[in-house]
Amino acid sequence: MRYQIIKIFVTATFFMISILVIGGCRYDKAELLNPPISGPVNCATSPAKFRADILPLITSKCAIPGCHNTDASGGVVLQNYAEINAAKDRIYERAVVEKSMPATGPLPPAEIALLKCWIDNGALDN
Amino acid sequence: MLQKKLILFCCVFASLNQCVKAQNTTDTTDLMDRLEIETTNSTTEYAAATFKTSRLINGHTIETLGKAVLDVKISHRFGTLNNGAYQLFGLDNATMRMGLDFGITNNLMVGIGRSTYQKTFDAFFKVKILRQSSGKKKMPVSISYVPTIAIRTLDWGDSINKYPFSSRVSYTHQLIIARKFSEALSLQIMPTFIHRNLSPLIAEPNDLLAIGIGGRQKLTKRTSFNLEYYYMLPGYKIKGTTNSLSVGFDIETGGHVFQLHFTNTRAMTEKNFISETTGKWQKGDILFGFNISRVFNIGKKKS
Repeated sequence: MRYQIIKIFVTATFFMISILVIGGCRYDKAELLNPPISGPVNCATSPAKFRADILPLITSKCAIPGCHNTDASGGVVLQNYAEINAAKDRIYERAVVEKSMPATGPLPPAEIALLKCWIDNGALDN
Repeated sequence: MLQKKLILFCCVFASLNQCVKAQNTTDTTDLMDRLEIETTNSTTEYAAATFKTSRLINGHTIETLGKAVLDVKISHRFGTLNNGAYQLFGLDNATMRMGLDFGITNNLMVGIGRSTYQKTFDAFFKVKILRQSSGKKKMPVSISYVPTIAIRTLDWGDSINKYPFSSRVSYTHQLIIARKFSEALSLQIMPTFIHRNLSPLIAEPNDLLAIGIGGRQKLTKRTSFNLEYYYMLPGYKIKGTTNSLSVGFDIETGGHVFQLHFTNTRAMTEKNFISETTGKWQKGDILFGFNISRVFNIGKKKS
């Protein structure tokens, strides 16, 4: 029993050392590894508006039951400008850079571009 | 803000400590004092049981397991209390970590664990570098070093982004400096360095620095009040995150230690709870959680 447990820990240690060797120490940036938008987007010429573009997008894709509406299990509610503006950095990270939100699948490139432009232009209530 | 929290922290511990001291100092005599001085000058006494177990709340304490001791740890963090009655104040959703720690020698232990938060595997070793002692050899503090490796195995959640395996790996190095001030009061500070191979944004650093402070105040022989706070140093705090603050109680029953606590973080691995906490105490993002520790001595029995 004792030797089996020691064996498990020795194996786990070697496993971790191999990961250290394989994984190494890197300084990667997700924004550079996977740019938010593949093609060029000029946010100055195609500005995104909060009420016309962002609110409908977030209402239909994010603030749905069980996700980011009033009974959001994670506590992040995205139903109005104040709530969305307060969470804009997290939205940028998860939906634009990581593309790990919405949970059902990433947004189409055009909608990612809208979000990026709205946040890059100061996340205005316009 | 930090100063206020530190002052409050010190006041709570100082006041509780005075209560316990007052109970213990009534029956001392001059003769006993003299005997004590004579014996302590010729021998070295090492501070034992600075904390009840090897975890304070989320993070490590100075303590290591004894040789050939296996510690099975199960930890839960429920949802936030402000979820309301419909979610039974957070009890409807939980994250958990299962861990196995093992003492190789009395001063060196290793551990592995798996947390449901980002499906993270973690492994660490902890080595005691210095032990607090009095008498012949005097050492004011104990120091332990804990390096941890964590591997996120959660899917990246999309089919567009591609990341190398190395992006899943992060490392944490912690130095834990602790002092047992009395039988009841122990404090520790934890300078922490975190390296994550992948940072989401160009503007965010891959290397993060934090400093933790924690302590325990015994309430009775078998229970104690614990506090743990990690402060991300200016320039290293990730946007949208908060510092991790946790309070809790240890309850010791035979071979078990139950730790019940309230915290603002869901995660239980160092990289996640120190640098990625998003809950705010003032908004009610408070999570109830517990750790259960059960130790087994698997060494050869002394005849």
